[in-house]
Formats: sequence, structure tokens, C-alpha cells
Amino acid sequence: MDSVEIALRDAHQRSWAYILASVVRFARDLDLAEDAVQDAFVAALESWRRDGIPNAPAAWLITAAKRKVIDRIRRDASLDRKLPLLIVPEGEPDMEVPSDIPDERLRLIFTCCHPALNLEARVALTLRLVCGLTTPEVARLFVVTEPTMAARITRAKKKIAVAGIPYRVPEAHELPDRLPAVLSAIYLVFTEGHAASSGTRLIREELTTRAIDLARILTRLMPDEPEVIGLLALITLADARSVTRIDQHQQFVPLHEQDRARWNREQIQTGTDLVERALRLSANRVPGPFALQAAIGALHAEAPTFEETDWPQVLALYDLLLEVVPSPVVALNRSVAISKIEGPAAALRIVDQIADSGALATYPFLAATRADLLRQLGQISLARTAYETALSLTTNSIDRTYLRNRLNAL
Amino acid sequence: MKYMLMIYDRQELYDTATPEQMETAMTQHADFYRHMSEHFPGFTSERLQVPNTATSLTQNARGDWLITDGPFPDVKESIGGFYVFDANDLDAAIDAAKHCPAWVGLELRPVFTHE
Repeated sequence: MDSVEIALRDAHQRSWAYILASVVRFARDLDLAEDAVQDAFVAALESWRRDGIPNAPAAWLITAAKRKVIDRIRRDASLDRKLPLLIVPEGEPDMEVPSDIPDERLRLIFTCCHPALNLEARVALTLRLVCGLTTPEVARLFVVTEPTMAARITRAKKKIAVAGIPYRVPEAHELPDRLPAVLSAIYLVFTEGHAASSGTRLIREELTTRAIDLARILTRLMPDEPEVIGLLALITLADARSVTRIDQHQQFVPLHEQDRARWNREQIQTGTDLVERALRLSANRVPGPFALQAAIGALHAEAPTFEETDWPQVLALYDLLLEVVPSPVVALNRSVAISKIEGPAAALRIVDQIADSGALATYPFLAATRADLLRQLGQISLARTAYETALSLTTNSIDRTYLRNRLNAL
Repeated sequence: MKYMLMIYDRQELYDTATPEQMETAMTQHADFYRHMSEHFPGFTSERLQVPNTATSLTQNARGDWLITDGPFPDVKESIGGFYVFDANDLDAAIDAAKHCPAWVGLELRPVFTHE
């Protein structure tokens, strides 16, 4: 790779979102802007080899891409536009040169992750437009065909234009409506990578790295938002412990059997510091779901052994989380903390309540949790039935092997 | 952009609502109506009769019409009324819609316009 190629790769990695975001605002058309930025990168290869690498590569690329936009509009003036122009509120200064002002990228992120777009669309658009991955790359990461992913991205872009999703950064009072859609999209990128169910190890690592990068960018752009920091803390702590979740035979290892010596201490420290910052910033308010889950993750990460985990503190955090997110999945996870403090019988009563409500009828971890509690209570035949129920609800081969082993060990 | 705000209703809610609840809803709609006509150009609105007054028409492959009673499709929710208004963008339309009373839910849809 020559120096020009290296400079272009750096510009792509570091400034793609910046460049695209600036050009989108100028072009008011996502496809047009994307094509123009792509063309600018191609043009740079030749031009930089001839004239040398410019002092401000990103600014050069923005200017070149804007020129391409103008050329295209002139050339196609007689043609009908496929989609209406993006709505760009007036009165916001155009940032010609990339600066420390982060708004350009935020505009792009909040547009790609508008709550009017479904989660899959938000994730695909974010990876395509904010991370600068090609459509085949995004398709590969989500193990779908290229035409499927292309159609998904096209549909999402069309919805942005036709529904009138504006290209702007929401104001502070709008964040409660808007931020969760951004955070859940980034979190899905991470969990998709974290899940052992699909794709090769390489794909999984690329997804978790992308998610952490995105969360990190967002914390830089919104340094005082506790939930943004909470998200980065949560995925950093999960990533720190991910090496021990699956053993060398591709089998799931439950938390209490994981080799804690292999956890990444540096990442745990970073994650724990972030948790503290998120909780401090939530002062006087109940922390949000990401900060709370991250705080629970920090307690697990810091405990020398499973038994020595600060269970009362874990339970207190689950109580808060259940208040903020009254979901049966949270209630189920909370039951594990109950079993550690009040014993398996008390936990089983809670799990049975959840089961009776019918809310998680097809959720294999409900049956698996029941089975584990029944096993602890010595009710072996009931435990066996529960493990069998869990097995019948699981298609993921790693989870199936784990449950099968548990069943055989009874 | 022109948006249509559709109000979803359920017949059973009309059947079981107390006079006070109906009164409250009417006052809220009146307030919303006033707010919208003051702030949003191109504003228009209709309240529809209750869902069980609806008649549905479907056409088979041969072109024969089938006329049935009730809203289309046959689900619990149906459209109880609508507001049409101009807003700068979807976020402005969402802000506006938040002032509208909603027993069941609301749907915002951009209106197709010829440039």
C-alpha cells in the first residue's frame, strides 16, 4: 500500500461519517451524497498521487464530493428526482471544514436512527452510512443475501425522504423520544456480535468492535448523556468477559463456571469508570436502563467469584431496572439474584408467577431457569420436564448442547 | 409536508365509555382542534361515526363485489376520525400529534402530493 492509499484508508476510517454527513446536508439526498463521496474517494487516488496528499484530506474530500453533487444535479436537471429532497432546517451554519463541532455526524446518526424506522432498518443504515460499510459487507455481517440487505437499505432511505424525517439533531427536550432508538440500534449491533448463534468468530468480533466504536463516538458527541455512557459501559463490560462465555469446543459456559482470571481487567476498569460516571450524571433521577444494566454488569465483573458477588446490590439494581423497564425478562433475571439471597424456593415462586402470566411462554430461558431452580431444590423429575421444555423451544445449537448436558447431568 | 393523523378506535370503547369519559374526550378534541387550526395551515378534520356503522367492499378476481358490514379489515381497531395538516417535517407532525387525545392510538401518514 503506498502513502496515498494509506492516507485514503485513514480518511475513510476516521472521517467517513463526517464527510458523508456534510455532503448529505448539501445534497439533501442520501443516495446522491453517497455516490458523490464514493466518487470523491476515487478521484482522490489519482489527484493525490499527482499533486500530493492535502493538508486536510477530509476537507478536500468534502469539497470534491460537493462539486460532484453540483455536476450531477446540472447533468440530470431534466430528469425527475426519485425521492423528495431531505428536509434540512434552515439557520444552521454549514460547516465547510471538519472541526471539533460534532453536529454533522450527530445529524447523520439521529437521521439513520429515527424511531419511525424499524430496528433492522436503523441498524443497516447506521452501518452503511455512519460506519461506511458497503452493502455486501453489511449483508455478510447479518448473514442475509446482498439483495435482501440492499432492499432493506433502499426502503429505509425511501421512508426517510417520503415520511419527512428531518436531517437535524434533536433538541435536548426531544432526546427522551429520540435517544432510545439510537442506543437500541447500537446495542443490537453488539448483541448480534455477542450472540454465539450465527456467523463466524471473525464476523462476531467485527460487529462488537463496530458497536463499541459507535458507542464511543456517541459518548464523545454527547458527553453528558448518562444513557449514552451507560450503553458504552454495558457493552465494554460484556466484551471484557466475552472470551470465557464459549469454550474451545464452542460450548456455552454459564457465569458461575467461567474462568474469571481470563477476563480483560483493563476493559473492566474502563467499564466500571464509565458506570460511575453514568450514575453520577443521573444524579437525582432514576438511572436509565443501560446505566442500570451496566452497573449490574460491573458488580459481576468485579466479583472475585460467583458466590462472592454483591447479590444484595445486584438485587437493588434489578429492583430499579424493573421499575424503569417493567418487562418479564428483567423480572426473570432478577429471580437469579433472589435465589442467591432468599434461596431457590423464593426464586421459583417468582419464576412461576412469570410463567403463569403467560408472558414468556416461548422464551427458552424461562424454562431453563425454572429447571435450574427445581434441580437445586432436588425436584429432579420436574427439573427434567422443564429442561425438556427449554430444549423444545431452542433452535440455537450452542444453547441446545448446554441444555442437553444439564439434562444428562441430573 | 402534508400529514394525515388517523385516530384509531375500538367499538367496545364507545359501548362502555361513561358520559363523563365521552365529555372529556370531546373537550380534548375541541382543544386540539382549536390548537391545530391556529398553528397549522391546511388544517382539516372529520370525526367519523362509530365503527359498527361501517360498510366494507372487496372485489374478487372475477370483479364481483362483496359487500359486508363492519370496518375493513376485520380487526378490533378502526379509524374513528382524522386530521389533515401541513407540518415542516415528521418531527413537527409528531409534536402536534402528541396533543391529540388517543384512546387506542394514532397513526401519522404523509399525504401523497404531486410536486
